[in-house]
Amino acid sequence: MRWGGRCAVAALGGAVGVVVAAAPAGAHVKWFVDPDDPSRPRVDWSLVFSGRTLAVIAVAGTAVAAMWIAQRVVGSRRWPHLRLFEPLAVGAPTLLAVQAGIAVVFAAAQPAIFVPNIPLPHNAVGFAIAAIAMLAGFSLITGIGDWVGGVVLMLLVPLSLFRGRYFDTFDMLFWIGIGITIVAIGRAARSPGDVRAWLRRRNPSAREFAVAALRVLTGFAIVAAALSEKIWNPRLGEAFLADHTAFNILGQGLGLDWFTGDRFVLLAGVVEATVGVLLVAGFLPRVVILAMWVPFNLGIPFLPPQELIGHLPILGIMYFLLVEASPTGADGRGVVASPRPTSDDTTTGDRTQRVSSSRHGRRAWT
Amino acid sequence: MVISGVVLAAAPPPGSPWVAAVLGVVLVGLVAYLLAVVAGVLPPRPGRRRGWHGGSGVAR
Repeated sequence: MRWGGRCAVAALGGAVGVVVAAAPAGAHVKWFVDPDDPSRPRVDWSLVFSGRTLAVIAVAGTAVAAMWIAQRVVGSRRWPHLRLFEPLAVGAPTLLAVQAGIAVVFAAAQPAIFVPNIPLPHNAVGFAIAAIAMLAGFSLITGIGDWVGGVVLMLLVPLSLFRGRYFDTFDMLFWIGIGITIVAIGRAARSPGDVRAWLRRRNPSAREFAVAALRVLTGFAIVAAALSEKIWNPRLGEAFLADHTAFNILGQGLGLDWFTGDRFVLLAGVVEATVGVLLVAGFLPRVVILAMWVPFNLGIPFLPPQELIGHLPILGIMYFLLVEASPTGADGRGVVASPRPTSDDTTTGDRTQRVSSSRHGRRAWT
Repeated sequence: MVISGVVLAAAPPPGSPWVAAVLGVVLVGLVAYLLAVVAGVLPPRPGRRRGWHGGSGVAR
């Protein structure tokens, strides 16, 4: 193997090792502490201008540069182009909407907005908001009035500011992305390449904009969670780690004493923030999504069901972004063809229309 | 948006109400902007009415 190849393999191995070491980076620590506990550690603002922030900037900046170079090398933003993604794309919008709907309904039943750490007051206002959220969730699950449900989802995010814990709201920014995607594409669409017919007439690029908003807002939400739970709030992360010592694989599993809980929390936060920054940057998003799968899934078997249910929307977003692609061709180099409804469109009426690629003369899944 | 504003006004957060108000306006504005762009009322960015590909513009 050539020297360059060895370096690439070593770098890849190192990256995988770091990601595995920080396996529960996706675990939402806030979900497993009492939201009304006044002793819940808050963000330590003195850490904003500290080495911890510098570490995030350095690692995330390096990762963005590496992904930019990698994208230039492979010559395609949508790399890897796997035919496997074509059948996987069928039903992705429905999957996203249903998974989001389940999480919204589950939280509203508690009652809470989206997650346990944004509980609603047990009074008329709280129950009314929970009822609205539940109806929005049902609209996403059933597809009835799904665009209204999408708008309600988006507005629930600023509503969550009533708790006064602003980072809890920032963690939920991805719901605005889900909402705008449902508005633009619709729960009944068969693939991420579809768009509502009545929107296509008004804005031909509505789908692309909505999907970009979904990706960017999800990235910001992940960065916010990393900052508020781990990087700028190490005491919260360590409190979580005290109850789940096995998560510190290097420290507890391999007996590396120097890898303390604080260092583990920092590593998990840096990995999580880097993933968020990479999503925002938009270089090789499929590779980023595949890398996300490890930290966002490894913690699920070891935590209560809330970890899985709360992450359903994120997992839906990851699936959606993995299989979605521009209808303008494999890498956006093609030309948008005039909508060509297929015979299958009769199943969903005029709600959505398939977009075809004139360059390839076939359905554009990639 | 009106409901969000009314609830925020009726139940001010325990922190600084000004911070919540500013963040609320920003987030509601973000929602309004996204809906307006998707509906074709506003361009994604000034001077860019067409050609949004959702990417960074590199190696498309």
